[in-house]
Amino acid sequence: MTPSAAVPSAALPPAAIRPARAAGHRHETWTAYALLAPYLAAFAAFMVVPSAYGLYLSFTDFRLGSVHPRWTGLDNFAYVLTDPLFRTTVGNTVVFVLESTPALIVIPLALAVALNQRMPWRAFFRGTFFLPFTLSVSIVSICWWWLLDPNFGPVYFYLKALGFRPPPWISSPPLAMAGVVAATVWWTAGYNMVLFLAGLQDIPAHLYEAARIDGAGGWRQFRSVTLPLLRPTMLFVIVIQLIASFQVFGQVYVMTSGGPGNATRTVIQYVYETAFVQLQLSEGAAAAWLLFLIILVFSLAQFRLFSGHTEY
Amino acid sequence: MRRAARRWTRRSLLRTMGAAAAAGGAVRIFGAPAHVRAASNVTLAFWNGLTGPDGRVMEGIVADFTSQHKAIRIEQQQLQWTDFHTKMLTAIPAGQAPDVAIMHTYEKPRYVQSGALTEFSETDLAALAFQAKDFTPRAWEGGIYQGKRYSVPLDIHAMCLFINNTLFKSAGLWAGGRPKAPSSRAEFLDTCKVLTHGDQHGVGWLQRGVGWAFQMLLWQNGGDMFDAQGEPTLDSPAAVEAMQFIQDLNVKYHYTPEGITGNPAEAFQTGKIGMAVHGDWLTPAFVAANMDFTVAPAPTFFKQRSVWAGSHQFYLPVQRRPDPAKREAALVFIRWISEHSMAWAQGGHIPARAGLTATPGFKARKQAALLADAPYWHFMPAVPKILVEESLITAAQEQIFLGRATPKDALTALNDQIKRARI
Amino acid sequence: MTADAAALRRGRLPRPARRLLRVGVAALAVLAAVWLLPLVWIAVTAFKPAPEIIRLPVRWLPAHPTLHNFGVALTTNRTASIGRAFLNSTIVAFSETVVTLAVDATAGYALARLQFPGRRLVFAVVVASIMVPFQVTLVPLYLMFEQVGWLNTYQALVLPGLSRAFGVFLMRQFFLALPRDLSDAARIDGAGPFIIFARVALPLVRPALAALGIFTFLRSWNEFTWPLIVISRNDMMTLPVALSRLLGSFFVEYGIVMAGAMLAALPLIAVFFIAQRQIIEGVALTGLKE
Repeated sequence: MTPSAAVPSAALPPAAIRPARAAGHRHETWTAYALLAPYLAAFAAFMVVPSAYGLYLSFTDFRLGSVHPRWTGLDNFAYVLTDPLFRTTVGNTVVFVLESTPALIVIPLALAVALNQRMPWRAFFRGTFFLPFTLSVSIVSICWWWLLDPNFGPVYFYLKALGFRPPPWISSPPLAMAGVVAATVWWTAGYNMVLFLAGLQDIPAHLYEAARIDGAGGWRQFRSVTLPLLRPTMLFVIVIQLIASFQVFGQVYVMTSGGPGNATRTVIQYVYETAFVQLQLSEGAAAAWLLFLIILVFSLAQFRLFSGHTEY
Repeated sequence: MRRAARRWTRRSLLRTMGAAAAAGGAVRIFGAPAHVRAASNVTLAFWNGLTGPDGRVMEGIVADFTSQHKAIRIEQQQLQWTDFHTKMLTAIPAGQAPDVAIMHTYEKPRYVQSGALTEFSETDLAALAFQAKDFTPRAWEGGIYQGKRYSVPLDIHAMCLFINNTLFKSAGLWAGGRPKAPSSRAEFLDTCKVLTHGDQHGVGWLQRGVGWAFQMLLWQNGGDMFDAQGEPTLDSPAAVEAMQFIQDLNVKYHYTPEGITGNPAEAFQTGKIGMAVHGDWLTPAFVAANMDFTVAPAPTFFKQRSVWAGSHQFYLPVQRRPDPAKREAALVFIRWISEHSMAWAQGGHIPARAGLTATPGFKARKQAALLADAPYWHFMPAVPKILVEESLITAAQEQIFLGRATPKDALTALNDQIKRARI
Repeated sequence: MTADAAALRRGRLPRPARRLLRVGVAALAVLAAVWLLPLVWIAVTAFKPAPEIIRLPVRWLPAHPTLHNFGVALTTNRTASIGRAFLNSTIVAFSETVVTLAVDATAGYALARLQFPGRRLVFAVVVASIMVPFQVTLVPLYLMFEQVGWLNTYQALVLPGLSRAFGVFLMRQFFLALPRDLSDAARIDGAGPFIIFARVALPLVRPALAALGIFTFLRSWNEFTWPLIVISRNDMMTLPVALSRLLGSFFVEYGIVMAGAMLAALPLIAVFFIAQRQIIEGVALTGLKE
C-alpha cells in the first residue's frame, strides 16, 4: 500500500512546492522530527517491536515459560494452514465481512444524508443512532442474544404473537451469523454515520444549487453530487470498516461462542483460542500473521478499486 | 527479635492445633479465629470459576468469612471456566498467581505439566485439620495426582434431572405427592413424549462450552474419552451411539427445542421444557425465580449406570515470591470454608465432608436425592488434553444436535482436532 | 440563485419538500424508536426483581420495580468493586485520551505541514499499521510488559493504545485542510515552525481534537481484550472486564448485568449528548476530503 493511494493529494502537499531557505529548512526538519518523536517512540515500542517479535515467535516452538524457543521454520504456518478449523473460520470471517460491510456503509450513509437536512429533533436523532456505540461489546452481545433467543426472547415472542413461525436464528447456522451482523449494525452504525456526516459537511452547498437549477431531483443530486464528492470519505470508511469487520471477535464470542457448530467462529476467535485457550502461542502468532496477509490483500483490492476514480 | 518470637509462637500454635486435630476432634475449641488473631493484615487473591448461581452463594460465604476475620482481606475473582484457565495459566508463570483457587480434579495434569501447582504438605494438612476419614473418599482421592496431593476437596457436584413440577402435574406425571421421574431410557422417552406439545418440549440438556451430558451418555454406554496414553477415543462406536441419541432426541423425536444449544436454564424457567438434564449448581437460580421444581437423579440411558460428577477443590498455585504469612492465611480461609460447607450446600452441591451429608440440614435440601448416586459418580479423566477437549467439543456437539453432521463424521473430526493439538 | 435555494439557505423549504420532510421525520422517529428499544430493555431489566426477568409473556414494565440489582452490582465481591473499576476506567481513558491527543496532533502536524527527509516513508508505514490486527501484537506485548514487570499497571493499560495510527491519520488530514495563508502570514512575521504549530495551527484544530478525544475516550473506555489479558488484580480492573465477570457461564443474572451496564454507560451517554455537536462538527471539519 502506498500513502498516495490512500490519500491521493498527499503526495504533493503545498509545502513541497514552495521553496524554502536552507537554514529555515533545516530548522523545519528538526522541528518535524521533534514533533514526530513522541508518537514514533510509542509506535516503535508498541507496534513495530511487538509485531516483529510476534513474527519471530511464529517461526519457533515458543510456549509460556520456555527459555530457549527452538527455530521451527514454517512449521507453525503449516500447522495452521492444514487445520480444517482455520479454513472454516476464514470462510466465516469473509461471510461476516461481506454481510456486515455493505450494511454498515449503506445504513449509516442513508442516516447521515437524512440527518444532514435541517429538521426538527435532528440532534436527538443523531444522538440516538450513535448511542449504542457507548456500550461495551459484552453488554451489546448479551442484550442481543437475549432479544433474539427463540425461547424467551422478546423478538420471537412478538413474531409468534403476530402469527409468524420464524426459524430459531441464533441456533440455525446461516441465520446465526445474520443475528451477529444485526447486533453489530445496531452497535456501530452510529459511528460510521458520524464519519459520513462529517464528509457531507465538506460538500459545498452551491453544487446542490447548481444541480437543482439543472433540474436534478433528490435522487439525481445524491447520485451526481453527494456520492462523487463523498468518495474520499467513502474510501476511508470502507477500509476502516473492512478492517474492523475482519477482526470481529467480541460479539461472536459472547453471543454464540462461534456456534452453532462452527457457523460463526471467526479467525480472530481461532487466533485467540489457539494462543490463549490451548496456549499454543507460536501457532497463534502464525495464524495472526496469516490474518494480516488476508486483510492486506482485501485492503489493496479496495484501494485499487477506488483509486481509479478519485479524481473528480 | 520480638517479631521473630511472635512468628514462632504462631507457628507452634499451628503445630499444636495440627496435633490436636490428629489427636481427634478438639479443633473447634481453638477455632479459626484463635490463630488469625496472630496473623498480620493479609490480602488473599481468590480465583474461581463459580459463575453459575452457586457463585452468588460463594459471595455470601466470602462476606461471612471476612466479617469474622478482620486481618484477612479476600479479593475474589469469578471467571467463566474457559477464561479462568487462560488467566491462571498465563498469570502463574508471570508471577501473578492468585493465593487460593478453586478448580476441579481433572485439570491437574495440565497444570502440573506447566509447573503451576504447589503440593499440600503434611504440615499444611495439619493446619487445615483435614483427615481422610472426614471426607467422601472420591473427593479426597481426587486431590492426588501422581502420588502427590495438589488439592483438597470442597464438594461433589453431579448431573441430575430437574423437573418442572407444574408441567408434570398438568401432564398427569404426578403420583403420591411427587413427580414420576423417569429412570430408564424408555421411561425418559415416554415422559418426553407426554410433555412435548405446541411450544413446549420434553427436555433441554446441552450446555455451550462443555460436553457433560454427552460424557455421561458415553460412560453409561461403556466407553471413555481418552486412552491410557491420554489420546482421545471420541470416535469409538460407544461415543457415536451416545451422540446419535442426542441427535435423535432433537431431529427424530423433536423432544428438545431446536433453539437450545446454549443453556437450558432459561427455557426450563419459562416452562418451555419440562425437564433439564444439568448440574446441581443450577438449583439456586430456580429457587431465586420462585419455581416449583424437583431435583431427581439423572436417568440411565444406556446399558450401565454412571453419573457425571466432579469435585470442586482448593488449590495453592505456585508463587514467584512465596509468602508464608499468605499461605497460612490461605489455609485458614480454606479450612473455614470447609467447616462451613453446609452454607455451600445452598449452591446445590454436596459437601465433601461426609459427616455433613448425614445431617438433617442436608437431608432437607433438594439435592439430597442425589446421594444415592454415590457409587456411580464418574469424574472427568485427569489427562492433559482434557482442557482441549472441553474447548472443542461444543462445536461438534451442536453440529450433531442440529442434524448438520452425522455423529461419526463430527466425532472423527473432533478426535483428529484434539489429537493434533500440541500441548 | 433560485427562490428555492434562497429558502433553503434560510432554513425554510418549499411546500412539497416540507411534506416530504414531515414524512421523513416520521420515518426517522420510528427508526429511532426501534433503535432505542434494546436500550430501554436494558434499563427496564435493571429495575426488575429476579423472578420477573426471564418470563413470558414479555413485560415492558416491572410489576415490582427494585433497586436491588444496582445494589448487588455495586457491592458484589465476586469481582472488582464497580466503584474502583469506574475509577480505573476513568484514569485510563482520560490519560490515554490526553496523551493520544498530544502525540497524534504533533505527529499529524509534522506529516501534514512540514518538510523532512523520510516523510513519505513514515506516513506509509504508519498508515499500513492500521491493517495489523491487534492479535498480532497481543502475545508479544504481554510478554514485553511481563518482562519489565508492568503487568497490572496503568501504564500497561494506556501505552499500547498510543501506537494507533487512526488519530495521526485524522489529525494529518485536518492540518492539510487548513488554509496555507495563515501559516505563511505567521512565517513572514518571523515565527518558527514550532510557534506556527502551537500558536496558529493548534487553536484552529480544536474541533478535530474534540472529535478525536471523544473517539479515543470511547474506545479506551470500552477496550476489552487487552485489559482482560494484562490485568489480573481486582484493584486494577477496568469496567468492561469487571462487568464481564458478572456474566455467568451457566446462568446469566440479567438484572445485575444490565444494572452494571447502565452504571457504566450513563456517564458516556451524558458526555455524548452534551458534546454531540462538537463530535460531528469536529469530524466534519477534519476534512476527510482530499
